[in-house]
Amino acid sequence: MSPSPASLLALVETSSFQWQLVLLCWAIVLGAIAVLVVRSVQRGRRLSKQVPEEQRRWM
Amino acid sequence: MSTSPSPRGTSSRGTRWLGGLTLVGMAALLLFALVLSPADAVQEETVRMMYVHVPTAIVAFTAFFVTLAGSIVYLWKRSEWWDVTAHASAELGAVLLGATLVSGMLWGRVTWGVYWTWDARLTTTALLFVFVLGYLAVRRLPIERDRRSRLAAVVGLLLGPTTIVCHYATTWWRTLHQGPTISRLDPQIDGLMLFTLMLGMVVFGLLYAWLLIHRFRVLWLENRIEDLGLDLALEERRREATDGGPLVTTS
Repeated sequence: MSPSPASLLALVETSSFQWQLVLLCWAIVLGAIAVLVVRSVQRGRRLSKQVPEEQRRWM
Repeated sequence: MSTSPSPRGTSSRGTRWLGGLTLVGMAALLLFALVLSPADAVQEETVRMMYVHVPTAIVAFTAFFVTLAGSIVYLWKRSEWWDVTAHASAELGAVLLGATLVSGMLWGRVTWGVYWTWDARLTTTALLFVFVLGYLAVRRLPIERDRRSRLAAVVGLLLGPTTIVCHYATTWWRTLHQGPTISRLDPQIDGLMLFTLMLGMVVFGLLYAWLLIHRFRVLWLENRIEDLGLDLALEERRREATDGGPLVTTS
């Protein structure tokens, strides 16, 4: 027995909603990390200009 | 890893390699998580949230143990290196735990039908998040650096036990959140799914290591600038004393 058009539509809608949530989840996490990365690198560049080289000690 | 300071910022040859490796790993993780790994029989496509939710949680827990270790060593030896490491790790742990909470809420919406429930695992995770925000708030107190570091280290000691309670919450209490799946000897998970999950842990681990080094260097520079400001202020005061004091005009 083949599935009815209504059940197929419901399946597509469910799958689409799931994908929206999956992509939203990944976008929020990676976006937050990207903001942290950019801000850290920019702040590091700005601060390193203010500190004499002999006073910097890296990890 | 190169330890020589870079004139252009907080990067060095080692961090550039680590950053490149992390980027390649992240691209591979996205490919496996969103394309190559199969949908789950029960959770269908939403299982793909697991590849970001679980690694961020585990790496956040690791970050809090690094903060705990740094706090203990700071209280014992008063080492600035460990103090800065503890601070940098707590910052990253806070971001990763925030990511865990958000991804967990979205995942919960489709599997449980609600974004949030006061289940033991979720409640202890929220508590842990509040603790780490408290730790970061202490770090911003406008007081002498030694005192601030000491206070933060004491708060940092709380992160260890809270993380343990949070981790074992699903074992110690009956929770809506599922129990351990991959820490068992016979993980109940498909081969490719397990591989993707492990890849996620490695990639987020690399990301943590790379960011930890950068955050450490930024915080180290902030401390040096604070010292330089203090030195300049002291020099100013000495100059004022030797020159007969500041010029004061009265009307």
